[in-house]
Order: sequence, then structure tokens, then C-alpha cells
Amino acid sequence: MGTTVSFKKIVALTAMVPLVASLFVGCSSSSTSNTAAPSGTQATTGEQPASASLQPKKGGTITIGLKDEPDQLDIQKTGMAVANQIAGNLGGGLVTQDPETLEFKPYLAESWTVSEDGKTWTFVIRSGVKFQDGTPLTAKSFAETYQRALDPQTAAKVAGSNLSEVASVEAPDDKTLVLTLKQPFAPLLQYLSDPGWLQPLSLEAIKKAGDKYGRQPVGVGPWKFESWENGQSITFVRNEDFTWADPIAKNQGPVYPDKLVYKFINENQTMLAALESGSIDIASKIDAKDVKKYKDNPQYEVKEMLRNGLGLFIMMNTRKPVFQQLEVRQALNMAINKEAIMKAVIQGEGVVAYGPLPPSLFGYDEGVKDYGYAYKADEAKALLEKAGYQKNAQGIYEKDGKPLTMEILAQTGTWAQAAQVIQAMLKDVGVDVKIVTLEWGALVDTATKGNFDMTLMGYTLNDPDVLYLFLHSSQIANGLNFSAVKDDKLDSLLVKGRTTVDSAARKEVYKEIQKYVVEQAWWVPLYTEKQFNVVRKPVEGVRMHPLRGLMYQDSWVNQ
Amino acid sequence: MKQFLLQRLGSGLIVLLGISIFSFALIHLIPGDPIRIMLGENATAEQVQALREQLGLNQPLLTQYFQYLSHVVQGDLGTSFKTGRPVLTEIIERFPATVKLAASGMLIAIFIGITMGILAARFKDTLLDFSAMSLATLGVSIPSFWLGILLIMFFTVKLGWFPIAGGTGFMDLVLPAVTLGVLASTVISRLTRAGMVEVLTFDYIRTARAKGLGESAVLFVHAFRNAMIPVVTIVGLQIASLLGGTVIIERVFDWPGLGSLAISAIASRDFPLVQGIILFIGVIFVLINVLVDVLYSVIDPRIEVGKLKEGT
Amino acid sequence: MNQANPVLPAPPPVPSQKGTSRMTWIREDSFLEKLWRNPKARYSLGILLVVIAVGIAGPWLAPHDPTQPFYEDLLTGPSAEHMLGTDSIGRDVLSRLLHGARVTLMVAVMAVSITFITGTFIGVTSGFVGGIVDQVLMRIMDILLAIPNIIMAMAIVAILGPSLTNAMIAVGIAGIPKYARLTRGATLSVKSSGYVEASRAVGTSHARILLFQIMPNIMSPLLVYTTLQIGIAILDTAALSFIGLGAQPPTPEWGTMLSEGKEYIHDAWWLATFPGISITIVVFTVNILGDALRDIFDPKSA
Repeated sequence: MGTTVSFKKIVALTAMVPLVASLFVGCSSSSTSNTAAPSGTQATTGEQPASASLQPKKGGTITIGLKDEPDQLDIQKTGMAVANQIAGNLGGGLVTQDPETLEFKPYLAESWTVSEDGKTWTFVIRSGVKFQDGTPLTAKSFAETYQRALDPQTAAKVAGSNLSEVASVEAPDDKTLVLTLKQPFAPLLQYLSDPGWLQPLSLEAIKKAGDKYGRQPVGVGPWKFESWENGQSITFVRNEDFTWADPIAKNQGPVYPDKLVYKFINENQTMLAALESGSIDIASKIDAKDVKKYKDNPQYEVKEMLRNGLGLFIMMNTRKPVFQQLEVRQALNMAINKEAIMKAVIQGEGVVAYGPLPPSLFGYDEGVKDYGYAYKADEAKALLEKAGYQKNAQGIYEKDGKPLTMEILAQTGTWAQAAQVIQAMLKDVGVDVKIVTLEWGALVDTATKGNFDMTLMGYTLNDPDVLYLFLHSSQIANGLNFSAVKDDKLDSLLVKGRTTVDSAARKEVYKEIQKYVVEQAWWVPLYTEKQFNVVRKPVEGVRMHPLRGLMYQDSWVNQ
Repeated sequence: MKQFLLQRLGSGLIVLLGISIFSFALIHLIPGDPIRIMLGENATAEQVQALREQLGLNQPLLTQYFQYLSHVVQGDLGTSFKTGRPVLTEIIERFPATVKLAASGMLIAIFIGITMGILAARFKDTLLDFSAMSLATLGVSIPSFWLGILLIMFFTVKLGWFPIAGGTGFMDLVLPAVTLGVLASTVISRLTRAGMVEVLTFDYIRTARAKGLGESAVLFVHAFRNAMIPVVTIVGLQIASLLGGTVIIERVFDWPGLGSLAISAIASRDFPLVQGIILFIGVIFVLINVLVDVLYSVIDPRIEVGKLKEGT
Repeated sequence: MNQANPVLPAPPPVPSQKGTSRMTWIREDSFLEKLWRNPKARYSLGILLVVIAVGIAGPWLAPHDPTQPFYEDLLTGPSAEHMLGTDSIGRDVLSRLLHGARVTLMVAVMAVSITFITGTFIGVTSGFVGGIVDQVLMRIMDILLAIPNIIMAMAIVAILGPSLTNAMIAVGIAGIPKYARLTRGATLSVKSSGYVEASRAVGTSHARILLFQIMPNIMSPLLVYTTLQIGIAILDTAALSFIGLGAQPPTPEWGTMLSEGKEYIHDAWWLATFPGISITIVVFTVNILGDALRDIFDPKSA
């Protein structure tokens, strides 16, 4: 089928949409719970019973295993979630988000005010903060950083898209930063709280490094970039001057370990062997099937969290006549046993999804469990017959002599497993499915071109505004609306969702959106999975942020 | 000698030229417009046109090829789609790790191969011969990624003897080099055995034995030296083909060499990088071959150039 | 991956008697009898016949549908119901293995056919015609030889798109250059034998010489190499599956099963072990058969 996709292409796609990037690695995630806690229990973030009694020590190295290597660390030029995960150590946000209450708190901005119409945001920038190259952080630094992100010349991917509703950025003096929006934008603070994508950059350092900046980045954060061994690792050292830690951390001074190393290990089994042999201290994004033995072993601490997004759902391509029939879409929704898929693919370590939002995101409606589609194979068949399909001799439904045969795109790995289960389930009902496995880039490329019947998909984002990116008609051409959903009622609801700043009112909007999306059955939501990170014992005090993942400000090595 | 050298270099150059055509063609074989692929779907017609002109892709194919060639000769292999860095830099950074792995793999292969070959020949048609040759065959029959994983499971996870993904130090090198060595030892042990079996029937060996020389002296001093010529050739040729053998093994052991670079370049559709790697490996292959030929004629000047080429 | 190719025998000496030359290698009283007398050949052929029989009869032998998940039996070890256990989505491993025998053998045979047909054509043409044609063809083969098998195959699949058919084509193409060189060498040595020169002198047509003199006499080294190439093709296909460029699910190809199974190597040993052993046994047997054939054709090297 000759899939053609290049990296540039993928990156270009992400320019439009932040979450494609997140899909790469499925970065930040949600809802922390603790090793000791039984699965599914919400535990308080951070606080390790074992380490609470111990006194943190200085020194040592923490080594983290990651599957993917970033393309570069110029956070405005990369589109990869893994780059954000790593570059988050270099930076900090204007605001921060409390891991427990999810409230926004001042960080690099001491305070902020919003104008009556919700369009002018004024931030007062904290003083005494220095970039790692020695230049002081001022409102002007932020203004220049965001102007750079908005400059088409930079072609900023995620940062540009996060600031897309920003009309202008000004710094009238060193302490004052003014963001003027095109229209009120509910997710703004969420985006500004990310220590990665929207962190301040030292324009001086960028100018000095020129083309090489992507491989020698400078920030204001607790860790200083030291080296990048291509194909192997990225090393950070402690920023000794760091006295402006994120208020959500306990340790307000410089970090404890001497070094923080990210190692890139592509093969799953190799990553686990590396953890067990001590080459790495933390293995990230471990599959549910591999995590069991670490849960029972006191040498390891398993950090788990529910992904803040749908881990897996099927998108139907409404460009195809077969999916323009509501009954067909609903029938597929009922023909699939989500529990069985979750059990087979992720060992049941997650929650079944009935609607387009996961429980971890703002605006999730509990009621979706009642009105979402459950597994009812007979009703699915009845719906197909109502839509004019008849079973043929092979037991496959057909209409006008054309059998109900469709392709499903899947990424290699667990998605391909899920696809095989889906294939078997739909075969039982009388629908013939062929699987096409592609790597991520090729899959996005094929989906963007609209050249498919169904595709598996997943997303990670901190805000329900994600639905705008996946379902608004403006996102068909270049965005993530691969299903090509074009529905006026939904369009206006989605716009209302992103411009309604009052949170109770906003919640209501998303309640309505979820109900409508389920009714129209463009997607088959499958599950939201737990994500696991395994920490080896000498490393203590690794904390989780529900939307950012692992945090190392309080971590230390118990040598 | 000089003429031979020139002749080898000449044919090597022709092959290199061919490889450059092949790698150039690669990017034109990809379905779709490379410019569109580079810029993505959102590019405007003007952007496409501008980049097309900038890269000279609006020129006739032949002109494009000569431009490509002149860049290559100046060491410019293009820019990686993924990292935006020069392809040559990416390759040069990874190459030493691959050389290290291939060289140690070769040493292990030579050690295993020659030991097994001599033993098998000395005890021809015994159980030992049979076992040694069966083991050698097994070495090329097992999927190398599976063998690699089994070694990791046993020596790293179970026994904790060798680290993995720790870097490119000696201890990290052992397991991947053994995996590669097992793979490459088969041919060597086979050739050693065949050569030794033949040599051991020669008169001078009988004479040596009759003179009362110890068995090991006969084996290692007299017989082995003469049985070694075909082995030396094959070792030379194998060094080049080992560069390919490392691809899968590097992936399994997370070895940061050219092989894992090639796999990730293909996975991310980073075509300039793929193109560059193919060209680079081709050049190395040709250089090694020329070198082996030359070395060979130095070691054994009696060998005629023509016969040698036939033999390879 | 670049599996080392055991060295080939020299082409057999060309007999001087016209009557016997043509079919020597296939005459029942000599070739088959020699096969039978060689224990390596006897046993390896026996094993291969069993594997081929399984490949043919597999679908009938299999106790279950190879793509049918048993949701109640996920990742269960070998038991009476599932003799080789089940995989992560509850499919019967034995059934997949039995079905997979056919897929795996077919892929190898098809890939080797591509190698054999194209490689023989290029090699014989090059050796027989000689001159500038020979020069050009062999330089092209040199060029392709300079690119390691697996990288070549990866590049081809990257261009064609991942599927079992494309993997097969890629593995087949990647094997051509080495094969063509060997065929050329064999052709040359037969061509330069006094016997062929004599037929030329009496005016036998090129076509006749090619068909009845060259081809039969290069068959023995080709047969050895083709046999060995089957093993290489199976391993290369498995390697492509390992990096995700092989068969599409739910096809039960052994290489794909092995690389899926390696993900469960801690908790479900049976997933990787059975396809891994199957591949190893088949490739091993094929290699032994190749050895035996070499011994038969070229007794000197034994």
C-alpha cells in the first residue's frame, strides 16, 4: 500500500495539534496511585511511607530508561512528547498545578489577573530567577519566548498550537507580562502550567548556540543540560543556583542527585533486563503484563497512574458510505466486548471507556456508563439488518452484493493485539475485518489522507478541549479529525466548550458533548489504561503528578 | 603489485559509483513526492516550489544525480529529517560502536571457528567431529534475535554477570559479541576443518609425525599454517558482511551503532539517513574488500590476481 | 541477517561421455541411492518431509482455529485442552504453529524461487555470454553485494510497505547477487570444459549447449546453494518480523509468533519457545541437507 511518511511530515502534523505529540509516547498522565495501594485505589500523591522516615542524601545518579530518543531539545521546534518529558527538567511554567487539588498556583509568575472579558491576562513575573547561562529571567524573556513560538519562522509545533488563541504578547516592564487573547480560552492556564512546552527560553543562549541550540538547551529549571550521547543517553547535572523550586515540591533548594540520565532502550525486554541488572533505576511505560513481578518485589516500587486520555478507541471514517449509516456505527459499538479486549491486551489494568473522555479529565460525565453502548451482539445484528444488510453464505453481512468488509489500521505492538481481538469479535457478528499494522508515523499519515475504513487511536491531553481537535470540522483537513466528522451542532458545542471559562458551566457543555458523541457513535471507545513506571529501590522520593508524570525534585539516591 | 592495486581500486570505484546511483535512486523510488513528504501536508504551493528549487529537484534527473554526487564527494550526505543534523555526523557518531562490536564478534568467531575446526579435523568421523560440526550448523540456524534474548535472560537477568544497555564498555560488549561470534564462526570452523583434513593427508605431515614431533606441534605448527589460507580470505570477507549481521543484534542489545540507527531511520521514514547509511556501508564494504585483496597478495605473492578474484 | 554461507563445492567434473553427462546427477541409481546411503541426507530429508507434511496437513491437524481467541484462557500454559498453551489473546499456540508451518514454508519457498530464477538467469547469462554483458551484470551484482542483506530487505519493505508478500519479495531480491555470482562461476567452469568446446566445434547451437550441457551440469552446486538459501530466507523473514516489517496479524507466521512471544518471555515461556525451536529445527535440517548434498556432489570436501 506504499505508505509514505517522513518525520518532517509527522512533525508538521503536530504543529497543528499538540496531542499527536503526546500520542508518540503518550506522555503526561493522570491519577496517581501508590505501590502499596491495591490497583484502582486513588492514593495521595508522592508521600512514600518508606522514604518519609529517611533523610534525603546528596549525590548519586538517577538513570531513567525511555523507549524513544527525542529529535532535539529546542522545545519549540520539536513535536515529540518525549522531548517535552525530558526538557521539563530544564524549565518551569508561569503557573503550576497542584497534584492533588488540580488547582493552579503561582510559580514563575507571582500572581496574575484576568480582564472582565477574559481576553487580557496580566502576569507578575517572579524576581531572582536566573537562566542557567546566567541571564536573569524577566517578563521580557517570557515575551520574547512566546513571540518566538508564535513567529511562523520558528514553525513552533506544540508551543505554537498551545498559544494559538494568543493575539499578542507584551512586556511593558521587567515584572509585567500581558497576554492578549483573540477570544476567551478555557485551557490557557492548563497549557501555561506545563514545565516543558511553554517554559521560558534564554534568547541569548539561542542566539549564541545557533543551529546547535537543539543539542545544548538552556533553561531556568533544576537540571542543567550536560551531554547527549547520540543513540544512547542524555545527561543533566544539578543546577547549583536553583532556589526557585516549584511550590508543589517539598525540596525548595537544588535537587539532591548529582546527575540525571535518560537512557534510550527500544526493546521492551531489554529495558526490563537493564532495570534488573542495574543499568537503569527507573523503567518507564512498562506494560501491564510485565509489572506484576515488580509489584511483589520489595526492591521495586511501581508507580501507576491512569492515562489522561483514551488509551484506545476505534475511529470510523465517515467519508466511507458504509459509515454514513448511523445503524452501522452503532452496531459496531455493540458488537465489541470492551472488557474482553481490556483483559486480553492490558491484563485488565485500566477502565472501560464508554464515552470520548476518560474519568481522569475535567468534564467527565459519570452518567456515560449508563447510556454508553454495552456488548450486545444480537442487537448489533438486528441493527445491521435494519440498515439493510443480509448474511451471505460465508456468514458475512452484505448489501447489494457487497460484503461488509473493512480494514482497520493499527500500530505495531499492543494495538495490533487489540485489532486481532476486534477482528475475531466482528467476525462472530458477521463483519469481515482486515488488519493493517503500521508504525505510528505511517498510521497518522494514512489517517490524515482519509485513506482508511477504521483506525485505532489513542490520545493524552490535560484538557477536554482535546475533543475540539478530534471532532471539530475545522480539524478535518490537517488536524486529528480523521473520522471527518462534520456536524454543526457538535461544532458549536465544541467552540462553546473551549471559550466557556466558568468551570461549572463548562462542565455542563462537556456533559452534553459526551452524550451527543456517544449517540452519534463515530467512535468505539475501548479503554483507558493504567501506565506503569518501575523504580528501583536505592532511588527514593520519586513523585507523580497526575498530568505530568514522574517528578524528580524530591528524589534522591539512598546509597 | 602496483598494477594490481590500481586495478582493484578502479573496480572498487566503479562499484562505489553504482552504490551512489542506487542510494540516489532510493529516494526517487519512494511513492509520492519527496518534497511533500519533507514539508508535510500543510505546505503551501509556494513553499513546495521554493524547496524544490532549493534542492534542485526541478532539474533533469541526471543533473540532480551529479549534484548529489558532488555533494557526496564533499562529504555532504544531506540532512536527517528527524534531527535536522547532517547525515554524515549521525553516521560517524554511531560507526565506532559498530566497528567495536563487529571486530570483537570476529575475534570470537575466529577463536571458536578455528578451535572447533581443528578438533573436528583431528578427530574426523568421530562423535567429536559430529558434535562440533552440528554445533557450528546450529549457530547459523537459530534466529539471532532469539539467541540474543535468551543470553540476556540467562546471563543478565538470572546470573547478573553482564550488564545491558550500560554503555559500550567491555562488560557490555561480551554478550552481543558472543551472539555475533556464534553466527560468524560457522564458516570459519567449516573451512578450517576442510583445510586441515586435506593438509593432514600430506606427506610432510606424515614425515613430521614420523620424526616424532608432538601431536600439537604437528597440528598447530605444520598443518594449521597451511590450512589457513582460505580461512584468511573468508575472514576478510566476513568482516564486511558482519556489518550487516550487527543490525539485528544491535537492536536486541540496545547497542548504539549503525545497525540500530538504520532500524530507527527506516522506522521513522528518515530517507536521507537511510540513503546515507547505505552509501556509507557500501563504501566501507568496498574498502575492506580492496584491503583484503591487497593483504592477501602480500601474505602469499604466489597467488595470481585473476584466480583470487574468481575465488571470491 | 547476514547468515554466513557455507562454501560451495566446485562444480562437478564434466564427464567425457556424451550419453551420461546430461543426467548424471539425476539418474536414480546414482543420485537417489547416494542420498539414501548418506545418513545426514537420509535423516534430514526425513525430518523435512514430516515438516512439509505438517505444512500441507496442518489446517486439518490443528485442534482449533488459529485466529480464534479463547477469552477465558489467556496466557495459559500447556494443558490437555491447549497442548502448547495459549497466547496473550487466548489463541491456541499449537494450532497457530501447525498453520504457521505452511505460511513459513511457503514464504521461504517463494522467496527462494525469486532468488533462484532471477539469480540463475543473471548468472548463466553473465557466464555464458561473457564480454561486456558479463562485466555490466557482475558490476551490478557487486554493487548490490556491498549492501548487507538485511538492510537491503529493510529498505525494500520500507518502500513497498510492510506485508508478508513484500517481506518475501525483499528477502528474495536480497539473495540474488550472491546467487548470481555463484551461478556465473559454475557456468564459466562448465563452459571452459573441453567437452563444451568440442560441441561448439561441431556446430551445436547455443540454445542446445545452454539447455542440455550447461544447465544440467551447474545444477548440483545450485541445488546445494538453493537448499541453504531456504534456511537463510526463513531467518531473514523472521528478522524482518522482529523489526515489525514482516507478516500482518493474525497470520501465524513463525517469525512473527517468535517476536510476539519474546515480549512474554518472563511469564509465558511457551510463546517464544515453540516457534523458536520450530524455526531452528527447520533451518538446521535444511543446512544439514545442504551439507549432505555437497558431500554427495563433491566427495573430496567431505
